[in-house]
Amino acid sequence: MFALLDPVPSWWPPLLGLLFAGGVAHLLWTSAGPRALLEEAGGRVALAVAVAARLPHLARRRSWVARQTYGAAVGNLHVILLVGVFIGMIFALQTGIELARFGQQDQIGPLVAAGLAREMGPFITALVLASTYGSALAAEMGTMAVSDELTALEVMSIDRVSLLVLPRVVALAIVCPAMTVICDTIGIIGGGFVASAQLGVGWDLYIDTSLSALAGLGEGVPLPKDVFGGLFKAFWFGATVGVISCASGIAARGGALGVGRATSRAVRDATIAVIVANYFLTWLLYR
Amino acid sequence: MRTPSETGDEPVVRMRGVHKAFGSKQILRGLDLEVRSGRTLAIMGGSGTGKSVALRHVIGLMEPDAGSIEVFGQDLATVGPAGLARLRERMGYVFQEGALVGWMNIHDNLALPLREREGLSEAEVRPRVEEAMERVHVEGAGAKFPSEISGGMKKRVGVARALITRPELVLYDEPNAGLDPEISRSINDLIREVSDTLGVTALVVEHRVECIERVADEVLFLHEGRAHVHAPTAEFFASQDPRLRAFLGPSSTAPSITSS
Repeated sequence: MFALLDPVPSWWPPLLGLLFAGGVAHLLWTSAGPRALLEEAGGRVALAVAVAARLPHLARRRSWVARQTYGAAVGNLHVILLVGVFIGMIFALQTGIELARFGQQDQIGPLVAAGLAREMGPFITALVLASTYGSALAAEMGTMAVSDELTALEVMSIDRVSLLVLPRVVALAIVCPAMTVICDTIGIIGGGFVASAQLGVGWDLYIDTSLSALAGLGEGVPLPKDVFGGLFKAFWFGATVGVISCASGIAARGGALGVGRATSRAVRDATIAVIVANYFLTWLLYR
Repeated sequence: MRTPSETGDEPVVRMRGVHKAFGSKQILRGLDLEVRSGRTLAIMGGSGTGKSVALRHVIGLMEPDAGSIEVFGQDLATVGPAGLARLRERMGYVFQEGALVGWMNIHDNLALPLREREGLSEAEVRPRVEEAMERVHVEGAGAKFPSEISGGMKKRVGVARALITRPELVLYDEPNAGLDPEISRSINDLIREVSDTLGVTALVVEHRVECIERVADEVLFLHEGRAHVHAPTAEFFASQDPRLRAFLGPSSTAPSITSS
């Protein structure tokens, strides 16, 4: 099938352009128009800036950060474990079947380890957190918005960003890298099960080659480059999910229906933002 | 339109020709009102006439399309965000449903403005919270969450939270909405007690006659976005204005009504 695209036919770039334009048109059609879309994006950037400006409040907010971190980590640990082990198994199976055709099964470990550490670990962890904790944050903020709780804080001249948003965003920026480490580890172990049980690669060989693939220290960083890159991405993914989820919830209007819409929008936009950010962070780290 | 007699005090709240529209729907069409220091003004009117909208303008949650609003002698249009925050520190706002923070217990809800805004230590916060709970008769409920208490208690805690920072002006948004007559009476008594003992100025949005009779010194009837009748309470309920009479109905013509 791919032979059809070699060389790339002349109609291929216009088709891609058309698909992209169609996606943008659909986004505009389903939103309240380009102006509302820009206002929404601007609001999220403004919230991110406001959170950054309040980082000096962290010492005062440490107990709230600890609570949110605990909630995000403990509440989603089983999901990360389950998703991580299966991602590793799928990754090992997909690459292993192809590598076995060339007698290169002993390369499964390095591929799985590098793939998880660089890409799949932070990416999958961010998506899991966006759909579980991020949606819960948006619903919580949305409920506070439609029940006048946020307005009550405003009329009491209480800094809502410092009290509500900062601890949640910081918690996600902490939990996402921590969960990524767990996802990577359990994924490598899951890949090892498949490699040894189904593809005939010895467990010891798999682990040795996996660890050696991650061993090289990066330039100017205290960690192996692939591990550092993955954790760096995870930090930004976590913060992005936190800001988008809180901003969507705060903007909720119109009772239960509005909270539902805000929650759905938070997961959709956080997913898109993580994917887009992933491209740019990968370019930044590996160009 | 009739206005109450001048008391000589400077008004704490003054709205002049306030207009507000939402899309094509005009809500306020030149609202004028004044609340003088230590007085309680009730705003009365049908649903959708802009009573709560007027209240939200006073605390700066909404900006008028035209007209001016002065609170404590300062024009809200010119004070800026920091000035508005300072003005709000002198005000309390009681929401229809209480608007208590759902994930904090009652003690923390009451302590919130003291910790966040006034930066008080826990040793200073505790007696203030206990005093506030005692005032609204919810002693012993400090460890409960808003979802674990009744609607009437939420209203009481909402009043306590609005008063805990010792405001000079308190705004009540339909304090009796959704309450049974007995709890309504206790809330009305509480509002009156607060006004009498603390001497705060109050603006109450309400449509229940019995509440207004109990709490208000003067009443403003909002009709078609304007102050249609504004008079001391006894005079207000004795008014023969046809629109007001049509709104109040035949049961509210009793001349025995007295102003507090």
